[in-house]
Amino acid sequence: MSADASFQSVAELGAEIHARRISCADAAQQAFDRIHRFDPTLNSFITLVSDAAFAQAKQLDDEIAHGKYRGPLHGVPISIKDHIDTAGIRTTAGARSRIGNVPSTDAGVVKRLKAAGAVIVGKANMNKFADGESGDNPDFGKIRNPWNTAYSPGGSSSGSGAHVAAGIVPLSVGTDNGGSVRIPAALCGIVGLKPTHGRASLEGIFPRLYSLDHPGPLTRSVEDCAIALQILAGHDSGDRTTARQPVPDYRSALHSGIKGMTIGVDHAYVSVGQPDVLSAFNAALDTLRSLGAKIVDVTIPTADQLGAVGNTIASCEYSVAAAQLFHDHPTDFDAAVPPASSTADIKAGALIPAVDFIRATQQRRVLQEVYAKATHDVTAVVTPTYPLAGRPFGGYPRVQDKEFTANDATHYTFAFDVLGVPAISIPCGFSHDGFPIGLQIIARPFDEATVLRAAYAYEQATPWHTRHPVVAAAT
Amino acid sequence: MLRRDALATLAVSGAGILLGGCSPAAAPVDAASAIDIGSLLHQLTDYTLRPNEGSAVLASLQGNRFTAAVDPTIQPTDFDAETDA
Repeated sequence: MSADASFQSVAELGAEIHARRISCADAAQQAFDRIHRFDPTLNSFITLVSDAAFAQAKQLDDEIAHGKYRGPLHGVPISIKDHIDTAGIRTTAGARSRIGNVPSTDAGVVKRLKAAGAVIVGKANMNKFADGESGDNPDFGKIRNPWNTAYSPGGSSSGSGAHVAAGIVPLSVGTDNGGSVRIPAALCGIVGLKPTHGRASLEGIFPRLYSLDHPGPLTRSVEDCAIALQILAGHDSGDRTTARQPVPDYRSALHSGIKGMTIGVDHAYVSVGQPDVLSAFNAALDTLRSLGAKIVDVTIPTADQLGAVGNTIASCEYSVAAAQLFHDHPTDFDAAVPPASSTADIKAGALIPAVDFIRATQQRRVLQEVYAKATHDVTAVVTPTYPLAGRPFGGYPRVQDKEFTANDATHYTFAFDVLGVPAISIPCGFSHDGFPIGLQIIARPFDEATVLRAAYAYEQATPWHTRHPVVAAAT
Repeated sequence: MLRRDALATLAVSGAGILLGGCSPAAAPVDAASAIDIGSLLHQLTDYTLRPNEGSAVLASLQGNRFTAAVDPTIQPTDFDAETDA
């Protein structure tokens, strides 16, 4: 168990609640105590919902007193990225112009979390309209990385990453269409999972890129990630794109180890990044070998191939999503923080010929097939998650004496949104100046169990997940 | 060889019809093009061009177009990410 109760996992806190050693109300109070201490520094919430949280916690305490226990999320405080609908709680998508948007119903994933007993303490600050990974919201301000508040936690699920890393909550739910769960996970030293497209419901989530968006959990441990995915995964009648694939017992599959597992590395692909990131990745390969995995070479489609397809699809889909926003609030994109889309980008997306879009979707099918064949003989593929250790606000640093671009920033993540396959980021070390580094593990469609199993084996063999940041409290 | 296997082989090798469109097209942006893009935007969308915005719209358009000559007979049902992997 964590020495500091603030950093208790979902599994630990859930067990304490189940055993009635801590009440749901006290768990919520602990979360709000840390919010009041740290959020003035981190700026990681857009909306807090203390009255609703304590009312829900009281109801959940009553249920336990009467013998009703909903499972491991019963009474556990969580946060939700602020473009996921929450009934009766404003949902802004990170835009001040939407501050009056109060949904009447919960998003599909929120329905599941509430039914499982999770207590929502607030809505997480984020990149405006979930666009980019800067962690810099022009309407609600910069979100700060708990490891170094002069730096970004990444994005676009920026507040979610900060909450979990700072010990405010053990679970936050974000979304990922270019790396927006995995990048904050890497930069905040926590775990973030993007499931297969179709594994979890998108109903009630701001549809930025409808064929690339994926909801996913951010946690401090792989086991917690498995617990959360168990709740989030599965067909939803409210989202017809969700698959009817069976949902395995993720938690019980964690402990099988990776002895004999074949893991692929595309060394040409793993060429972008700061030296500390690439060194940590190579050390992670050694650890995986020491656990019995066999590391082999694979050749997957290049980032340029996948990016060419993905950029066209993303540009068109965002223009569709932005059309009404732009009509209602024409200046909403004027202060976009690069690499977020500008007004010119939104207009350009509306001009891309349908022929280009259809060709891109056809080519995506081809590349999915190429990837499937290239990885047929391996169980998983590994890469770094984010090429930088520490993401400054503003522009990127030069890397290995070259300009570093927005495409470089999502080099390891966007490709797997385009392919739609499951991918997790877990901590795999720290840079010389103390910034966390992430390892990404990718598997075949709907094989999140393998992603979690490999991640758990690595996590248990390394100390990285036991380190926590010390955040300066508000005075 | 199945047609989809042939397509996949082409894509892996980087040969043939799939190669051309894998990098964004890059054409020079000039003032005349920027004026034209304003007319196009007006005709095809609800948007209007702001002053001095034409070059940025055109550059973004050129950078985000996928122009490869993909086999036009490919249907979504040709590949199924749920079952093919």
